[in-house]
Amino acid sequence: MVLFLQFAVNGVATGFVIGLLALSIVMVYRSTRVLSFAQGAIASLATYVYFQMQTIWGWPAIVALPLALAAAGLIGAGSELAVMRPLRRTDTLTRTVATLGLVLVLQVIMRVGWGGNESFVRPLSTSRVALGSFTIGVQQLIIAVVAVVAALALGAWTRSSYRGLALSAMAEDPSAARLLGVNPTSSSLLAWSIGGVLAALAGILVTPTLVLNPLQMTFIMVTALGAALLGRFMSLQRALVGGVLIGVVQSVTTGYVSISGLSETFGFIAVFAVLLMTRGGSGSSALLAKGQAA
Amino acid sequence: MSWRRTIPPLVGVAALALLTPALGDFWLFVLALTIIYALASLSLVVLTGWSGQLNLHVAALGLGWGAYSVFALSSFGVPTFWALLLAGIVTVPFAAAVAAVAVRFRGLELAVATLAIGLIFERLAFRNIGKALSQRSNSISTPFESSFVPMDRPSLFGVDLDSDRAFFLFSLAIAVVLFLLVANVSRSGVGRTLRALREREIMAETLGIPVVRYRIGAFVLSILLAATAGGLFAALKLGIAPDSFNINLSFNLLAATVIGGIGSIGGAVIGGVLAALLPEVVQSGPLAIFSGERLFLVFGLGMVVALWRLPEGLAGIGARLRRRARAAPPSEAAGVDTTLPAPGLVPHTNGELAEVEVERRIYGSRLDRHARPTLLRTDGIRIAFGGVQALGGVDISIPQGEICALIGPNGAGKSTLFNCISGLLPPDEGRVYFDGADVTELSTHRRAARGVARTFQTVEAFRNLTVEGNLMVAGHLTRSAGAFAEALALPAARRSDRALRDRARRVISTLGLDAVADRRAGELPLGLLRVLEFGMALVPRPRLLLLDEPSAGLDANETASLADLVARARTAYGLSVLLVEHDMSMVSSLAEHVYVLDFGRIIAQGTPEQVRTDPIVIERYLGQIEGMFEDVGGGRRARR
Repeated sequence: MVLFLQFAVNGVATGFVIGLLALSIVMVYRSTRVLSFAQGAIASLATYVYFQMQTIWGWPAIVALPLALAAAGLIGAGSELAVMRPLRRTDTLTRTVATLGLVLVLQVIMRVGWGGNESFVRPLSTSRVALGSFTIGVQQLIIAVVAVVAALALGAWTRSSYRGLALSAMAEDPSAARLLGVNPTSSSLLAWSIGGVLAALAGILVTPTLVLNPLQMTFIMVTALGAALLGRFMSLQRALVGGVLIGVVQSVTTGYVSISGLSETFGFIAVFAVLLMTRGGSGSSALLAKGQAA
Repeated sequence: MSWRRTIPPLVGVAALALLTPALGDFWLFVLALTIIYALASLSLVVLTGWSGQLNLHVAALGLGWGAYSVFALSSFGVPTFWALLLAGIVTVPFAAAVAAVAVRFRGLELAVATLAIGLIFERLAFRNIGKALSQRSNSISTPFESSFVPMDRPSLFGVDLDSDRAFFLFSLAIAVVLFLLVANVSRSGVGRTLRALREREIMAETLGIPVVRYRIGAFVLSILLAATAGGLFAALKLGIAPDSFNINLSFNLLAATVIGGIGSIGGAVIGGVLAALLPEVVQSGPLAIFSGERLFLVFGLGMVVALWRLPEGLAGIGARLRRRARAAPPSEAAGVDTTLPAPGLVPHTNGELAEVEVERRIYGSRLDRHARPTLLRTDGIRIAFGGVQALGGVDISIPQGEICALIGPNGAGKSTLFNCISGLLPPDEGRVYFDGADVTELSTHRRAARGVARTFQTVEAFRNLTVEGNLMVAGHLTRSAGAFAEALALPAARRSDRALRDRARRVISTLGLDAVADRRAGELPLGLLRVLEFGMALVPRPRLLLLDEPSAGLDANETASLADLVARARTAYGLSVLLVEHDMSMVSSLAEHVYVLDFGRIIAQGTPEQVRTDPIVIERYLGQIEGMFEDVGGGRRARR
């Protein structure tokens, strides 16, 4: 039982990271209907920026973190301007495919800037605290706290501020929101910037416990797609909770079952399971779900 | 097979084959890889370009599967050549299984699904399969813990294809066969149908096309192509590792195909060249700054630019220039809406409907209505969306040969009832009977095959096909050849296609669409689109025609001519018609019986006269029309 709980507790932190990435995917999807596969690459690039300042130049984290987050916002905004803006008249599937192009481009920036090798980011803290009969790393605690605070702040912002409400309106009914004067292009820009910051938080917090390479976060992002799917790419709460759920199940399962490669693929299996769960049958009623002839 | 378009590429292939003695082993290796990647690109063209489905991890779900199948077979002692062939056969059930799962998803979900399944294969299945099999066959010894598994090149009837030259020619031959096959499918009715259903699945379904089966077919063909490429890949590289089929390869192949042109076979060739040849070409010389992983930049940016400016890719440039050269002066081109006559909207004296006199109200009185056999009957249809009751127990019946109208205010549930009758929306309760049989559980395309046709309020013609193409797709149910015969261009398929074209031509002249027969439907004004869609509904020779607001967006003249067409089609085919309409003049001139729907219930029925004078109907519906909508009625547009 203690072992089980220890596995579960280990999974919570990973789960919050998955949740943060899922939040960033949902943020972009809600306002633009584009499923961005680039959130992982944006997270990695922002983490490299942080790595440069905090690990190589030795700046204190309190300085490096806000700067890296700001950079992430700029990367998100830049991606929107460079890729989404020209394609705004195309359908969402086209724009989604274009985010794959973004993944390739961002990878080149990382490989040219820092080499393709694995780097190690200095964690904020390496100590562990004992909670009863099991222990938890301080870094993990920080991840959990930051994720919860970020999610709560995001939730409050989308419910109360004008800009946040406008984004929610775009999420609910893009054409109605447009008629009421919400500017779709500036909403899209804002959503991509926030998505970038959320992704960066996930990357910067988790890479000290892993390694940093240009593709690492993209794999975690695929798992995050499962969490985002639990909320149909629309619900912020479900994305975060779904992320934690997947993280815990992953940690417990791979703790007990040892198949080579399972720990790194469990997330993908979870995504597939979620897909099967959330999707009904094929057939014509599924066609109508697209709203074509309804 | 059209030789005029096939011969130039074949000449190119022959030239390439003759050129091989002049090439060194290195370039032969690269060219063989080019062929392999071109096949992988072709797999994306079939899946994404034709049927609109995404496979984000073709390297694993395709190439990798084929490579590991070949490896598995050869580790059981099957010679490589036969393993390559057998792998294709092994792949079909696998591809069908993946496709059966994949068709449950559409669009973005499918993208996520293929990504997840592909990664599971790449990082879990391949690794463990490779390890298990190489431990099994003791001939293979790996010096250290590695997932690399070695492979042999095939030999053909005793001739070793070990050299790069022989293997290149072998790959080239296989690729030529597969490209010709795909080119055939593309030109056949199957290709036409796939392109149509990519655009409008629901419309395709209501024309009797089994959309799910077609999507599965495209998926299987696509994986088969990529798997063949994967088998060749394993033999070319003399071995494979799970990492040979990583996600970056998939993204690169997708990008290369998009840049080359994901809608065309030429695009696949360019895709292969970009993915395999380009990296070697830029290895040295002035372009060396783009060598290695930096080439991702070219692919990534190139894909975005292609999606933005060049949807048909590099392969489409030629066609685009030709179109531009042929294009009429702008004044003429812009004049589509005005310079065209209003064909189809004037009464015609020739064609299929000609010999039949316009004859309204053949069965005048309500008594006769019950004497005739019933074609369609609904029994207590209930449908709720969330908590909103859209239909609250609707019973209607339509005798054979009757034109029946369904009227009622917006939101009364008319379109919902249509969707239920055509099978797009299953009822929560109640049954639908057609021609005496309970069809409630039948899918839309099966009902279409029994004779239910419909049009849509928002015009759903396939915009990227020509008028003739639309009518040919609409003739799906009348084809006399199966999909396989069509894919292989057998004589039966050619006969069937010719018959289909003739029929389309006859409908075109009947409807007076001759002037626009070769125009893309997307270029037509709304009035002609309505006529076209009406024609498409008639092509399969239905027994029941559901018309959803056919006059929406038409002016009074156009409406009158359309009403005339409906009446003549009814008499010519003995058709029953259920008509949703707001235009009361059309309703009273056409309909013999009228149902009035309000808040999901039938509140009145009878002859047009009876309904028109019914106080409840006037209060609930007609009063509103006369009071509020009289002037704007003609201006209402299709919602899309």
